[in-house]
Amino acid sequence: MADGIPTWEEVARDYGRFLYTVAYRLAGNDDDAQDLVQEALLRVRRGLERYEPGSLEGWLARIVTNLFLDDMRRRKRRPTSALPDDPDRVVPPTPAADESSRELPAHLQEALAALPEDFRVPVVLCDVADQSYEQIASTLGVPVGTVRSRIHRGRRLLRTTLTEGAS
Amino acid sequence: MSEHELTEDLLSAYLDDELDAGARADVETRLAASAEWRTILDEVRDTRDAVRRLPAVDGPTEFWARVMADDTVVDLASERRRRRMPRWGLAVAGAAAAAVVVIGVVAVPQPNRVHPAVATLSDEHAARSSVGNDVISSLASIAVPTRLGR
Repeated sequence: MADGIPTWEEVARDYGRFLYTVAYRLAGNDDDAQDLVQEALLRVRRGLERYEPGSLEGWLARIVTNLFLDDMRRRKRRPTSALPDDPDRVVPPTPAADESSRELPAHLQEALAALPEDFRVPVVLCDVADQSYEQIASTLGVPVGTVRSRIHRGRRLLRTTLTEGAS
Repeated sequence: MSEHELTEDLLSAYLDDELDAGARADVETRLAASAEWRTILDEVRDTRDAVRRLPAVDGPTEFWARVMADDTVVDLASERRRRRMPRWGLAVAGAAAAAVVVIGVVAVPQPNRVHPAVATLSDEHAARSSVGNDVISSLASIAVPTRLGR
């Protein structure tokens, strides 16, 4: 790392788990999370020269969030029918060891994934990516008051979903 | 509270320490007076804490092995975009490629497609001029007819 600017490899190695976690909580599945992480790292690779030392996690969270929102907009414009996976390139299922770590909060992850994205994104950025309301507002291009409202309503919806699921 | 309307939305911001001192004091006053607000605060806190306790997620080992390989990020990203292109997208791309070929064949001037052929025109002109006294035109038969002006 020179002048506080990490190399692409350092970002992937040191922040890969953070990036993947945010992507997974936003997208709700491994396949889309992998797409998001790959695209995010591609942008990191292209944009590192312009990166100004600061909150690297904030920068990464912003990149992956914008990619997620772009993807959501594209899907709304034209629903895709994915082509069959190329068996030579398809990423194999997550190993069982990785799955076991997700079993316990599976219902919570499902409830999170079921939240409308307007609420899910700020909740994930706040509670998973540990971003401040100000940072979230900047990333989403909305007022802080909107972030505050969406986080609260998102948590309330999440609570309702979990409660209904339990009963 | 001077600037903020005292709404329930403030409870999450209160938990997250995202309120200024005035708003925070107003929320605390309301909490002291309202059992309903205290219940909501507890529920929101539980939910927030549950999300925050969700474990970090590691991608599959093979995924990271590919990502860390040289230039694989670029290749995989392109490949995934291709796989996710809808069928009609492929059809449009194919049609566009075909259109480019057709335009190339039809619209781009081709050599040796001048009608009548320059060589024929030149010979006919030479034959006609041979019966007259036009000295210049009689030279036409020895002109080089191909790729004129190109």
